[in-house]
Amino acid sequence: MAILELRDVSFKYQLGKETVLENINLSIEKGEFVACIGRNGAGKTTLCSIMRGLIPNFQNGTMTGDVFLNGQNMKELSLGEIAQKVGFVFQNPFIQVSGIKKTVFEEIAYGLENLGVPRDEMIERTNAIITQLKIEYLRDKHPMQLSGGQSQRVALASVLVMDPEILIIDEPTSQLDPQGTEEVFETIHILKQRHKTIILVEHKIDLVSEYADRVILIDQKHILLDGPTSEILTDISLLDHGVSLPQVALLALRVEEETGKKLDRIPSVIEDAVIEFSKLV
Amino acid sequence: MSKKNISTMAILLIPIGIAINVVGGQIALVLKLPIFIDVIGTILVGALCGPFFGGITGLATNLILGITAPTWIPYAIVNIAIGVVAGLCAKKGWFSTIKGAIITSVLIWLITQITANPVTVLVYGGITGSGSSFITSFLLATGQGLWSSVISTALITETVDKFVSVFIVFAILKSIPKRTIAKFPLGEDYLKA
Amino acid sequence: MKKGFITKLYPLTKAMFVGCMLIIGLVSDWRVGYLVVLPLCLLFAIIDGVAKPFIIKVFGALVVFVVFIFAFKIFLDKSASPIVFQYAFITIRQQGILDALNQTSILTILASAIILFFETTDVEEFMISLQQINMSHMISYVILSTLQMIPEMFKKSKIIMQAQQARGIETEGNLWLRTKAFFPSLGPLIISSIADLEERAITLEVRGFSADVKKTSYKEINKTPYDRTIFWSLIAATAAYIGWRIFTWLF
Repeated sequence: MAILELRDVSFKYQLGKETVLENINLSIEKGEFVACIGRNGAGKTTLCSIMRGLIPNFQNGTMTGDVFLNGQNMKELSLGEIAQKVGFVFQNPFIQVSGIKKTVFEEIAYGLENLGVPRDEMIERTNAIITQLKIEYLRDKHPMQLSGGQSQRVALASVLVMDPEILIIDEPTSQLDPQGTEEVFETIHILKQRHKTIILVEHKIDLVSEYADRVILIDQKHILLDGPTSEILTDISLLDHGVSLPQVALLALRVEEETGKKLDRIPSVIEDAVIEFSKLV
Repeated sequence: MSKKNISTMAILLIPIGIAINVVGGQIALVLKLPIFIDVIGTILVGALCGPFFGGITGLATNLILGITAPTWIPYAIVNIAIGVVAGLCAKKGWFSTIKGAIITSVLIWLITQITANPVTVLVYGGITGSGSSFITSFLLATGQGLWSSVISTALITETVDKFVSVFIVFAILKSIPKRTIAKFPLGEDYLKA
Repeated sequence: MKKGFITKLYPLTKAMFVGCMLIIGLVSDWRVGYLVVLPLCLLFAIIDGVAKPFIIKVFGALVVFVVFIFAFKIFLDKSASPIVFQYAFITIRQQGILDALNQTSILTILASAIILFFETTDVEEFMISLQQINMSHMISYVILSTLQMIPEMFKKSKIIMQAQQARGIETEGNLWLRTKAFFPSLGPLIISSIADLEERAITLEVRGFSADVKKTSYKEINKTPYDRTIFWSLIAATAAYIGWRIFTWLF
């Protein structure tokens, strides 16, 4: 059974003139790492809000269709249940703080306080997450005094400690410098190794090609492409939809052009590129 | 439909309202303005979320100030009243027009006088501890009230204070982006304007 | 930091103390406020080693009121009571002083009890104790969030004011100039805080803020062996005192 399923979902913001998304059908299995790409304004964030249940509970607008979480219709879940089952981390690193805690440890534990988790378990789970995500050095710091990258790592920890079934991450590095980006993707790497179900919205296509198992492209209100990473990220038509290809793919295409030789397949990651180019030499 | 959203936004606005009250008062002090301007936050929350949240903001402001200055706590009733009146005026749509803003200023000034003076009298200058007549004290103190307002400019500056506060909120409401303002309980009224 | 006896007491016990003192003060004259409550609070402050901040804060809170009220009452004293002090045109009679003492008594109780409370109680722990008797966690959130937000906003306002000064907006000079400086200082602060609200609301939601369960807390607060006794003694003593006052008033 799919862990998350959208059936025929359409949405229009109350203040908007047109629908933002139409007839979205999407099914995600447990343990999948799905990347969502598309130009700005295509509706990726709206899709995230729908998957997280923020639409229709928190956004004014009209939504048709249904979202199923582990077979249950989201409309039947309480807000607390949704919060526990679906984690969400978004762009702005400095705003994802409770505003009432003075240490990172307490900040992370806040979600468990809200879910009414008993104190001993709370402490155990918080310690476990801190260890797993390798952020021991941040434990006693004040949540408002962290760098962008550190804040996003804490945001991820704060959501993961609640043990969600699926984690939605919306452009976590767009407001970060290269070091921050690296820190965040280190954490995402750990999550991938633990086979967490993740939906990642990202523009940094090279990182997407490295981490995602599956890619969906959103443009013109629909999901236009949906398939394995190596397939989608080597499709030249991506360029028409406001998305770039990974560097190695672009390189491969240029090499084909310049040499006139055809590669067996266009690579999307370095390992594949090495294999393909080695065949040429 | 978005009921939860609305109350969460309102709950989040209250701390901002309180902080604005406190910081606004401090800025006025730094700039050495002869007015207090310490109710902007209360009026703002009332305007965006209605009388209930406006009143709560007023109450909470005095309680929080009361942590370090407990002697001002009795004036909470004034702050509450201002928040409630601001909320009621907002429901009538008076924060969207200049004319409405003027009416609101007058009403807020009025409610301030109505609530503040008895508190001043009763808590800070009227009743004796061993239980002498309420009425006598009140009359005496009202006499004092008139007297002190004649010899000081307190009355004038207090009026200016309230008008300026309402108009600042009026200006702020016009500057908030539409999609944000829509999320508050009374937000839809401002979209129509 | 060693915790004094009073500080270790459960927050609600101390809150009951404040409440009882206020109730007693409302039905008593100046002797209770000045001779009982104030010294008692001072004593507790000394026991817990917070005498210095206590004295400074209580003095700061009361001095303006007390001076003005005394001045008023003395000036308006038309009674024929014995003269206590006379110099030039200043006549201070006993009645005036008594009136002033009675008037300021409740303020003194308010100031002493509340300042003592917050010198010996952590606000976070107070909120947790209230949540334990089923106060909504939203109230707790509002209070704690405000306490973090005020210093933050104040810092930002100083930065904005400095930036405005650099741009040539006058913060000194005549009243009109200074008034003009006010809005550019406050306006951006308010608007940016409001713009942030939506994402903060989402953040809280993601952390289970709206979950309809009894919240737990990481910070632990425990009752000392004395809390129970003190709590109920306070209630009993206050009730008895009020009873006695009513009795003496009726007969």
